[in-house]
Parts: sequence; structure tokens; C-alpha cells
Amino acid sequence: MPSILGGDIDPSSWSIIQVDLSQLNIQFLILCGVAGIDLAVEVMPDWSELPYDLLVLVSRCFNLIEDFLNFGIACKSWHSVATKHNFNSELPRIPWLMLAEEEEGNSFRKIFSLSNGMILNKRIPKASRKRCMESMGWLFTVGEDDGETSLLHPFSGVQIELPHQYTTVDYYDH
Amino acid sequence: MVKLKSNDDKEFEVEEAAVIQSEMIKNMIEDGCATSVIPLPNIDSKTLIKVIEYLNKHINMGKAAETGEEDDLKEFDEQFVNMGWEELFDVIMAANYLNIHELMELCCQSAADRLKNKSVRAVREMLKITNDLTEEEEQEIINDAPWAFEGPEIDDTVN
Repeated sequence: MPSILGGDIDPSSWSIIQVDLSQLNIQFLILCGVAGIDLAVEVMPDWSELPYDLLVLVSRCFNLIEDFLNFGIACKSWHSVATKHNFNSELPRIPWLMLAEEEEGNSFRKIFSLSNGMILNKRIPKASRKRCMESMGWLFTVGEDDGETSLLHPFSGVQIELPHQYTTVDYYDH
Repeated sequence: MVKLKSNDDKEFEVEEAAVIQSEMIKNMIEDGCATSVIPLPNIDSKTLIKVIEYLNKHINMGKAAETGEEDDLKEFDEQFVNMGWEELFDVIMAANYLNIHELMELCCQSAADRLKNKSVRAVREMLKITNDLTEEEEQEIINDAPWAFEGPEIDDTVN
């Protein structure tokens, strides 16, 4: 009989080996049972397959926009729920602070994150050479030279022109 | 008492007051469909034990508010979600199936909290998520708000 072990082996010794193995196996199982060892290995479920409604629930738990955006880039299904609508506006927000213009005419503004100390250089050309005041996430801007006023959203760049100050009743009294 | 049966054929008795926090079972009881054992083909016994533990603790939420046990309940919730990602997934799915809204919210909040301040690389590795976004799609998302993906404090570890 050809053998992979390279020597002649008496077939009866094979059967002995097999019996021994199976007994070992049984003993091992019994030991595990007695010791209460759980042999089942947990397999990571597919989180990208989490149902849509549940993904929406998760997405609505982020109060920092960075976390929300990072969540939305993991895979397609997660991205599908990371919409503006699902960024929960009811959670408390940590504000960003816009710093004063550093050099005149420079269209970049520095915006400081109170949550992690990060400074973001944001190009806001429409805020150049203007005094900016904050109003509910928008900037109320006043032109330094011409006194033109507008509402400006620093991130979307949307600008709403407001009537010039001289149209207000008491403008010339000041 | 209401009897629940897991998909590995284990039966559990739960007080009706506890189990009706599940909208699904509440409806079954109201419709008279819960006379004997309620089979739960989507939930294994390990997960069901966790869910029942939650239901029993959260029996009569109103009572907790009256007797000042709210802190106790909060502490329980914190301990409760202290589980691996695999188990958390199972509990979320079970809560969804049984329609236990508070438990779904608790678990989804825990998932979100664990993802906070993590880099996308770490998130994908932790949860073994295959990135099925194309390079162009990913770049497009990053281009919308590049600052969000390169903060100096972003955590790249997978714990």
C-alpha cells in the first residue's frame, strides 16, 4: 500500500489512530461543556446593511458636523442618509468663532472650532472689507466704505441684499 | 405573564407590563394573538435575554421619575450598551423588530457615540465596512467640506 508518510504502515494502526482522535475530540467537547467555554466566534455583522430607518436614527445622533460628514463617507448606504435633512438641528451645537479680518482685502477668514481647537481657513470673498455680525448662523455684513448691508451665509455663500442703511428713518440722526 | 420563544427554541416568561413596551407585542396582545407562546424567528436567545433585561429594568418609566430613580436608570442604560459592536447590532435589529423605540434610540446613540471623532479609515476597519464608493464619489464628498476630514484631533485608532 503506498503511503504519504513514506513507510509501510499496518492498516490496523490507522484504525487505532482514528479511534484515538475521535475520542480526543469528544473529550475536548465535554471539557468545553463543563468549563462553559463558548466556542462560537462572533462574526461582525454587515453594518452597511443596517436598515435605512435605523441608519437615519444613528445619523440624527451626531451634533458635530465633522462627525456627521465622516459618518456619511464610510460607504454608499451610510452616505444615503447623511443628508442635510438628517443633520439633527435639535441637538445642542458648539459654535465656531469667526476671527477678525487679518489683512485688508484678503478674502480668507479664519474660523475657530471651539470643540477641537481647529482653525479653518475659509474663503469668504463677499465678507471682504466688511464688518460682520452674527445672526443665527448667518453674517450680517456692513460695507466699510459704502455702508451696504446684507445677510451672508459663510458656508453656502448665499447672500441676501438688505435695504441700505440710509433708508432707515433715523439714519441721518447718527 | 407572556411567553416568548427565541429562534433557537428557548422560552422566556416576561411580565406583561414589561413586554408591552414592545409595540409589536402590545398590538399582538390587544388583538388577542398572544394566547400561547410568541415565536420570535429573528431573535436568538442571547439577544433576547439582553432585551428582556432592558424591558424589566424599564418597566413603568413614569414610576422611576416619581421615585427619583432616573439616575439609576441612566446608569443602567450606560452599562447596558457597554457591549461589542456585534452584540449591539443584534440588539438594534431586535429592538427594531419588536418596535421598542427607546431601546432603538439608546443603541443608535451608542453606535454614534462610538463613531464620534473617528477617522473614516478607523470606522471602516472597526466595523469591517467595505467602501463601495468610487474614488470620484469619495473625492466629491470630501471636496464639499475638506476641513471636516482632516482635523488635527481626528482619532485614527480602532478601539
